[in-house]
Amino acid sequence: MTTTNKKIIFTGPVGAGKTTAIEAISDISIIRTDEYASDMTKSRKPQTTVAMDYGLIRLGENERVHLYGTPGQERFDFMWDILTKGGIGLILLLDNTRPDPYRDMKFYTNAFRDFIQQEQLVVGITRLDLQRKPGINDYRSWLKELSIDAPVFEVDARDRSDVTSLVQALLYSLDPGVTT
Amino acid sequence: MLNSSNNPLKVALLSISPHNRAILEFFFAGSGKSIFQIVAIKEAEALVVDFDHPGARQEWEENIRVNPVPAIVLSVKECDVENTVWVPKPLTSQALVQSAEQIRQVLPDTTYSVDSAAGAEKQRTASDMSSLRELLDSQQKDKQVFGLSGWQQRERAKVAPSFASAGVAYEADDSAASVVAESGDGIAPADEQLIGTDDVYVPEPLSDNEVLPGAGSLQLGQVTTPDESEQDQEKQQQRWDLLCGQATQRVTAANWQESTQLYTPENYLLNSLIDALNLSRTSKQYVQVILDSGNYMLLMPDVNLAYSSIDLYSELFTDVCGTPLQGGKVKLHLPSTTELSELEEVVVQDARQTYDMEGLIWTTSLLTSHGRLSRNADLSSPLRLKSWPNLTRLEQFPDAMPIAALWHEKAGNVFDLSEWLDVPQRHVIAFFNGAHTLGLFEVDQGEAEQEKQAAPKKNRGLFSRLLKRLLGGGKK
Ligand SMILES: Nc1nc2c(ncn2[C@@H]2O[C@H](COP(=O)(O)OP(=O)(O)O)[C@@H](O)[C@H]2O)c(=O)[nH]1
Ligand SMILES: [Mg+2]
Repeated sequence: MTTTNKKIIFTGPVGAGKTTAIEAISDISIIRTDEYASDMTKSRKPQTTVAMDYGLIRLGENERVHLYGTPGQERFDFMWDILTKGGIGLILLLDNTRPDPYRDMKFYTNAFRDFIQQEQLVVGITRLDLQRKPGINDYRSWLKELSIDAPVFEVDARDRSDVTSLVQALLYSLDPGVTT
Repeated sequence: MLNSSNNPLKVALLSISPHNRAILEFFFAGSGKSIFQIVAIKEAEALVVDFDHPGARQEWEENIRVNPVPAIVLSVKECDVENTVWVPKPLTSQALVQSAEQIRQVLPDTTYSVDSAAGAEKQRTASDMSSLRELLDSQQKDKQVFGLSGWQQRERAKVAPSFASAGVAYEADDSAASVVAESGDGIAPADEQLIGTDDVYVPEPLSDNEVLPGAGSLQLGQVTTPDESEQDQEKQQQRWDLLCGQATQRVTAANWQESTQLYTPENYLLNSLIDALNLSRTSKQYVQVILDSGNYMLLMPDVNLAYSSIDLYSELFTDVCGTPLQGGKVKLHLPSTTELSELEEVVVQDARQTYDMEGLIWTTSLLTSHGRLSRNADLSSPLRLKSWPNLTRLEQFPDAMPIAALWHEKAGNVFDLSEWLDVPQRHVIAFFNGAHTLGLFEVDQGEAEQEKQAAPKKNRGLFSRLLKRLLGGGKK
């Protein structure tokens, strides 16, 4: 029997809550994976690895939804889009307490721009409990400025129902006719 | 493009950090396989050089003196050097693929002369990337942008050791497949292998130290939001009845005006609240809405919070919202500085009754309309939801998510939506009333929505199972 695999990618700056969010909905404890690049590297040193957070939701015997959190530090040098293969959607978490969340938003939506155009983006703003400014309305207008259409929610990555809402918004955006 | 063969472009990597080398090799080994092939420098048709890496530029200069092949230059800064193609960072695979195309055009056996073709190509690259460059420039001005805030840096420093040990490397395993570098057709069967094999390191659970600054942090964590888990189902249903009404019959564009389910928003507290919201947003000041009973709401636009002296979930609040007001029963007040400091004290002490500002308006709007349609609204024009409501902080009722998704994708009126989505019309009406009050709709621009709609929906079964799983609570 064949297994269906789907992938949801969580991205955003360090500390935005990616690991926590994946943890909140994953069936398995979160795993820090080092993805090995294939064949070529076997003969080469140093090792070729790309570190990601990994979680999993199993649906019955043969359906799996893989949850990936992008690595944190690489920024300019990282080729973000190579992570998106097989992905159905991108969840961008932005930390409201960072010095300039608008620039964070620009950076990540730019890094994943092709994927966002083809699939679906959902934005979650974390740490609004610590700092209320900017507000959701600001994020809405920033997305408009960047010509991106996406749901924006306030979330606390530690709260499972908030993370679930992000995934719901993703799935319903992809197909409003889904039933439960 | 004589050289645009099916063979990969032979490239050699000059000095580059191990990390970047890893990323590039990862790409070259996977989805970039058919485009690039890494070879020794002597065989290379082109070089790949990271100008941001110390010493790389000198190495490149020495190399091309001996062997003048074109180069793909990776850099955060624009590079306008002859016989090179600049790939700006952040790198994308698409930009790398394009750079290979551009290199092919300047290779010796093309009909272009090397210099002019390279020049023309570079120009094109430069203008294509202008918006990106602007972004990069703005990012470079502020080195802090992608760093951590001061607090996080301190907190992170404390937990750094546990993270370092969690990052422990493990033995290379030939069977370990790459999930993302796999060049097949979208789905990632390699994921299977990843989970199946034990070449994954399971770290310690996240450290408690990571959880938050205790004392001294802002007291805004108290925004009350509905906690459905504490209500039993019956109570929840009663609340939904208050928010959405209980109508089971659908009204249509043709007969809604004869319906008994109509109301005039102008007659209620809601109207004063909307005035207050607009006033506070335009004046950027705190605005108090005072009822003749002495109860009040305080709108705090700078922090997007609202305080209500009456609990939103109380019977009293439902009554206040649902009872038409006689003229002059409500007044708007701009508190003085002294009043403000008194009010602030109340708000802090009574944080349970401090709500998300949109949350207060949303709930008020729903309790007021109670599933009814506004007598004065233009309900025939198609509207589009321009922004999703912040559903995680608004009081919930069934079907809000699919309604938001469809209304965001496709313009329509209340009656269209009820038809398109097979859900109780009262939920569509409630959503409409709440989101309309918040100003989240726009008149349809008549864009070509149809094309988007045409695509058949894949994965519906899987999505549905995933949703059931998440909403049902699943194993977590
Ligand atoms: N106060 C607060 N803390 C949060 C929120 N979301 C996540 N956190 C915490 O922020 C820290 C960093 O989260 P983490 O998942 O490691 O972020 P990552 O770097 O994106 O993976 C953790 O201690 C989380 O518990 C939030 O909305 N509010
Ligand atoms: Mg993390």
